[in-house]
Amino acid sequence: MQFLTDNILLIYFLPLIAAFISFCGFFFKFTISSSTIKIYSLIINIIVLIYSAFLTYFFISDSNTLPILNFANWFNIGDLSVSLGLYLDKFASIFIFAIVLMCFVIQVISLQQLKENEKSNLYFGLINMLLFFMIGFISSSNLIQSVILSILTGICIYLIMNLDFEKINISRYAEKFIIIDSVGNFFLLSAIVILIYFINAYGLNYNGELLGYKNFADISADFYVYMSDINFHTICILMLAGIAAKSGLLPFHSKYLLIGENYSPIIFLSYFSLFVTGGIFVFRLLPMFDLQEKIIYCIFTYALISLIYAIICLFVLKRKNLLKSISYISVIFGTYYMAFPATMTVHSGTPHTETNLCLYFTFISILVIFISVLTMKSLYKSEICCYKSVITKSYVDIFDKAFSWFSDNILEIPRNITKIFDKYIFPLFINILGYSARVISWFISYFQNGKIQNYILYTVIFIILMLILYLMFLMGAAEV
Amino acid sequence: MFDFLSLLSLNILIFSPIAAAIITASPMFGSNPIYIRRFTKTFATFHFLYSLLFVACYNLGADTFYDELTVSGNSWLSKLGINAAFGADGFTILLCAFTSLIFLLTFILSKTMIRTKHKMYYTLMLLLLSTSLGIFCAKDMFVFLLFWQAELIPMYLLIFQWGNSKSQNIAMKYVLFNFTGSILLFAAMIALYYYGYHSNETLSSSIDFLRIYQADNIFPLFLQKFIFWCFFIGFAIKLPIVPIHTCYTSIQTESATPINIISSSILINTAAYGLIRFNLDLFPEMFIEYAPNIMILAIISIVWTSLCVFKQKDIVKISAYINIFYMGIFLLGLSSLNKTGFDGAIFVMFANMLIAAALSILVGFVSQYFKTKSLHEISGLGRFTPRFMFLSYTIIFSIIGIPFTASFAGFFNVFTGAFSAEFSNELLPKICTCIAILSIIFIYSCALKLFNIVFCGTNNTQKKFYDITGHRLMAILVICFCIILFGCFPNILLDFYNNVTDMLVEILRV
Repeated sequence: MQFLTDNILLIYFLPLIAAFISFCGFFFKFTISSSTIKIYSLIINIIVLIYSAFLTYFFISDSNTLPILNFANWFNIGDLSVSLGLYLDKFASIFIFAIVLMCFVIQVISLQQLKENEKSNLYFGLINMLLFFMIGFISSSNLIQSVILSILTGICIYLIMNLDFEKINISRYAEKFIIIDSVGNFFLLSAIVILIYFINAYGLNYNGELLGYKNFADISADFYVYMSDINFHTICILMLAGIAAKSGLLPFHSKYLLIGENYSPIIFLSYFSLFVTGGIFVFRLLPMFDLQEKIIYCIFTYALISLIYAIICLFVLKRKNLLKSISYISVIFGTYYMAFPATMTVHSGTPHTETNLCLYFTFISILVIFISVLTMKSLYKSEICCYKSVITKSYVDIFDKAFSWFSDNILEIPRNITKIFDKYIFPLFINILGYSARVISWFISYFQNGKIQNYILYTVIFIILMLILYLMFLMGAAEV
Repeated sequence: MFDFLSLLSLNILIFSPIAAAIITASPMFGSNPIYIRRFTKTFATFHFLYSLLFVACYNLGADTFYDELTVSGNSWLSKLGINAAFGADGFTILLCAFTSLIFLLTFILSKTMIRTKHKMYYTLMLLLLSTSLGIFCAKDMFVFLLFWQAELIPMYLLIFQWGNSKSQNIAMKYVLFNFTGSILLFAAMIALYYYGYHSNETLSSSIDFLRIYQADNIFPLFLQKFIFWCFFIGFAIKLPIVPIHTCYTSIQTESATPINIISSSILINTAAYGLIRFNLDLFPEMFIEYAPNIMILAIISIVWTSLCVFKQKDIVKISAYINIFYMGIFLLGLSSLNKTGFDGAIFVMFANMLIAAALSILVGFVSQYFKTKSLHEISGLGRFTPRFMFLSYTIIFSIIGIPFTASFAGFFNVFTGAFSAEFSNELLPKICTCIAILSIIFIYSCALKLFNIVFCGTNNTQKKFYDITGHRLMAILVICFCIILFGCFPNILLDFYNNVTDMLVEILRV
């Protein structure tokens, strides 16, 4: 453990070294062959993967102490200083492992797919660059650093998307993608500017670290005390809008469609990065959102609206356009992913925990149905080629029959949507699934010696595995 | 240890380019362009190293540098209270070093961009270097005005001689615009000088003395208002801000690339410097009174330029509008009246020096490759020039203020400062800041559109393009390195001018 925490910087700089080697291979024609450079990149990735696996293991098994390192004071905003550092906890270590694993898998798959591509070294370099920024983002020590690194992550995805810049359509999609991303940056930066204004006004700087996650709960509590409700809500809503735009949720879901017009490994990598961005932001900002029930309910309402919209769109599409279908599934998944951390309330036991859990299981049940059905369908009879949306040709299988029946009926819902949801669906979910949620959580907690943290931890691991599984399914669908 | 301080003289820094210009113009070189070019580049390299020596010594503890140009031991025009005094603090020293660097890079790039009248070109450029440094270091307002006016002559000739077909008209337009500005400055300075003289019977045009007069409140309010606006309009013409920006965009369209580099990165920053030194430093009360108006002007400038960029089909005009946008951000930071805003505004100034130069080089290369500036006729360069393309990425990303590029820290400080501005109308700074942040999205999309059109897609012409190498690669690498260096370590710059912003805040408090 000591070794891992002492040499923690290795996990950051190894991907950067791999990126540097790959870039050099692209820009300067070395005597070393292109494939050798790719192998170097993979070896470095394996080292990072092993390192992150050990790190995750140690964090899960033990370690109540959190390594927090502040590298440097980056720049000053008046009298306040923005520092660069890292904040590692169980949550971060799991996500680091997931992203490293994902990047490694993508690189292995890309070895074959981009074999003939002369820009493959550049591609490997950009993936490693993305990995570097993602690790930095996941383990950011403060909100400003998170936002900055999420911007850079977006830029990296843009660069990867724009790999085949000779194809003008691809460049245009990449351009649109980054513009949507910049809308997210706008919301998040606006929220930070307002927060800094209040920090200045009330002197809320904790231990010299501006908006650090270590004291974020205290800072948020102070904000809640000092600010008027409208200011607090404005900041939270700006942040939520920023997160939605960064992770491609409604109404910014065209991000997924734009990414969809690319090589399949790029699609999966980008989707994964967007999910992780959204999830990390919500989780880190949860102490702030959790201060007001209204905000938590706002997240759930937003998630439900997105979910319903995406499901309706899916049925309207009637699965003619597989690419769009997958995009909408991703919206569903992303929405769920955003809403999920809100269920892991910091102050477990508060009155709304039960409702949260209830809604969490609602999402899970709906997701499991739709994702499994659609991915199976994708595997069964479909194909995606690069740069074009392929329309499935026949509707003979059993799933399609079920879908057409379901879609014919569910399209009636929008007519009476408010009535149905107010009177039947919400109470039904809350009453029935609420009880089952309580039973399941009690059951899991009992077997984990009643520790709610373990319950949360295992749920996170489950979700990440499910996410990886889901993306692998999609990848398989694309390769059919 | 060797005393480096004894080597440093502002007179040498400012006037050595004039000496080099005289040597270049002398018959010694004949008209051999190779010798002239090599001499100028060598001189510019030494000049830049000399300016770096100032930066290093400032870091080692020298607070300010002061020099006076004397004629046989007496101050120049001492009877009128005019003395050629030059001074430099951290802010000024940095400006000098940046100016020297940009000129050096321009000389390096001129090899392929200037094909005729080399002797005249390099002489004029050296004179322009001297006048720019003079403006930054002048401690006397008449010396400032002298250099300000002297800058017009080489610029007029440079635009006139090395421009496009319409360059003659544009050169005249430049002179008329700037001369109008200079007249306003002159009127303001005369008013200051004579009112100060009649009140105190002390004859001096030193900027420091003026500050003392101002502290004693000897100038009546109406005169202060008049002088403040004279200065403001005089500098705004050169800055430029909407609606008096048309001259600047015309110059950018019709001039040769090296002249564009200088006008976009150095000359507009002389005006920004003037705004800080004269309007803010000498008239803090007026600045506080008119700060909301200035903020509105800044926002108009930002919004107008970010919308105008969309319509442009000329890549040079896009670059010009982006520069005006940057100056709008600078003005927004300045009008915030707090340390954060001032820090950001000055940082944006330095970032603009690098980014404007980089953008002019980028646009210059592209128009040289395609022999056109029209966006309709340009496409698919990236396939042939991957190195140039990926260096251009750095430039494009720095324009839109991506983290770890030079403009990010400046933008962040400006927006935070502007949001915290305390005006009687509390909502104004908040709304203005939100609009400014929003307008970045427009610049964002436009810069990426420019990039996509130039580098992406395919090129149907049979022409073969070669990637940048040699001196061109070196020049653009240096700029990209500086952009990333100051993006990763913004405190290098912030620490240098920290005492200047502290002083400005102190003046505002008093």
